[in-house]
Amino acid sequence: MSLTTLQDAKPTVQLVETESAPGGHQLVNPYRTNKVDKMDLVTMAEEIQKADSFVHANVSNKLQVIAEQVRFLQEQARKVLQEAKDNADLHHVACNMVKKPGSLYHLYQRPSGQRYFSMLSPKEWGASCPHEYLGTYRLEADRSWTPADKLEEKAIDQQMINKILTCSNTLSITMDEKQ
Amino acid sequence: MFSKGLEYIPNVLADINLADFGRKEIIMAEKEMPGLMSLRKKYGETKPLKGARVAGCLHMTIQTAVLIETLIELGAEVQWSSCNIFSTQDHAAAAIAKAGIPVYAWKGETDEEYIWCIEQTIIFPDNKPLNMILDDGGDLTNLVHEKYTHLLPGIKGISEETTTGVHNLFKMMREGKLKVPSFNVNDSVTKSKFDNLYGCRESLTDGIKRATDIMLAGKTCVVAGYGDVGKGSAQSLRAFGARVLITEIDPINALQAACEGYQVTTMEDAIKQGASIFVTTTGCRDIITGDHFNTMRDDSIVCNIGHFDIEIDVKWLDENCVEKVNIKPQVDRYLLKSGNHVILLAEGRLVNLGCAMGHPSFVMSNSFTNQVLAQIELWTKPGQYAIGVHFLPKKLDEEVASLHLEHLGVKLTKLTAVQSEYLGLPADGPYKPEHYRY
Repeated sequence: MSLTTLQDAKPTVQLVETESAPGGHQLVNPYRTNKVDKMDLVTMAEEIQKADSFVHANVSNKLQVIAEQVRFLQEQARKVLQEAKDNADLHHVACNMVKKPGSLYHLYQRPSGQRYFSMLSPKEWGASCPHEYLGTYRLEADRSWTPADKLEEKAIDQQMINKILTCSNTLSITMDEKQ
Repeated sequence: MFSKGLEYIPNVLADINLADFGRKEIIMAEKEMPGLMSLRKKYGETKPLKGARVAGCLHMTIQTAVLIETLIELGAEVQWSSCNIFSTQDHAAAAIAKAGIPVYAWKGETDEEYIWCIEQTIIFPDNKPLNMILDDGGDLTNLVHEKYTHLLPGIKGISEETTTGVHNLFKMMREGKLKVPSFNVNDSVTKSKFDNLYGCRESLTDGIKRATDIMLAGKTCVVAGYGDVGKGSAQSLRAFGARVLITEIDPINALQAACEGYQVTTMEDAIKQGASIFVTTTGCRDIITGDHFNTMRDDSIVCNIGHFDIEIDVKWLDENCVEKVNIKPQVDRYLLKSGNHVILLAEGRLVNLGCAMGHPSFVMSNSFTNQVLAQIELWTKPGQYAIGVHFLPKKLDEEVASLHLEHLGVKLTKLTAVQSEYLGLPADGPYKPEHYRY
């Protein structure tokens, strides 16, 4: 039975099958013996319905957490793929020099539409800046690109990572942080 | 007065961390540049270039670093850019920057960045303009004459390194546009007969081999032009065992080539003969064109060691190829519609700079000693040289050569008084008339 049918269907009370001669002893009047009070049946049905909704609520709660995790993982996967795409895109932008990790490069677009990396920032170009400026990026040691506006964020992340790397175990930093 | 209204930028280069490596190579180069080092010894005390603000535009290499530091040792202030977008050795630029000398150069500039770099060298700190030009190819000279005309009266002189730049100076002179006394360093005997000839003789094949690892022996090669560069290129290819064909427009040079045993023919015929390596050295344009590419053998190697990238029609290749595959920096393999390939080195720019390390230090010491002597002449003798294009006096040319002899263990014979009288020559030169061709 699926979860939704469990919730929606009118619960029918299922009683244990009757036996007119239990253990070989013939009952005198099985009908009488097995007669059920209507109200009892209603109570039992209500119980079942209540139980069903509890089960459903419980499952929903648990699945909710998983659904959130799935959404988060999906989002992360999407971000990773997007970053990979952006990085690859920047690596294939026209460039005359051999790029060195740790350096800032400035992206421009020529009137032809060609994008290229320049060593010069718009400030260095000054008024003679020949082409449209699209942004500044730093090439990282892992050959990924960090946009200029994310440099600070990246530095903070790196500080935290360095802290983890320099601690003998991660437990001690969590304890340090609590103090 | 500075039209861009920019802040002064002390330097722009690829990677300052390369400075230590650059310095080590500069120290090695100094030993191979005896001409420059002896000028430092001779003029280090008197500082004849004191007050000179030299804007230099010349390949920013290790050898140029020794030139720059010689100028500084002689009292000049110096700012530098490279005269080719691919020729900068980043470690040389880094060492110069670390020594506190303004330098604007990196390997792989765009054309716009190239001009920007040159412009940065025009104004020195404290908004003082240049008063001397040291140029290679004429781009700095032209820029100042076109855009910074108000600075021209303050400029005492130009020394020009290469053929293309000298042609430009003569053209400006003819058109009445040249406003500064200029020295043609290129045609000092100790420049063109050494740099162009012996320099290219070593660096052309170095470039081809670094780029392609091709075996030259047995190949048919074409050298377009049989000037000094062509002579060196042809000799070098032949020394590897290649069969060398020459193309020429000048009957004298053509006859010279023929007398050296080279077959002189046209580019079309050379292609028909199955040439597979093509070297342009002409300083002219359209030497190798689309029609040539279309009829070449598969995987022919094409490169230029003249001045500009218009000797080879790279534009045609880019526009008409089916596919351009970059093998490694400075080496591109084009697939043509015919199914054949063409391997182009250094994008048609100077192959010995793009694919190798340029000229060896020793030969550059000859050229650069001429440059320094030209700068001293122009700076210390204002008014002596009229606006126009001058050669260095023969005596100085001879001095450049003599400064390089000891390093090679050369023992020079002295004229006796009797011999001197017999020839009618001073015992310590100059020994040859101006028109002597060596």
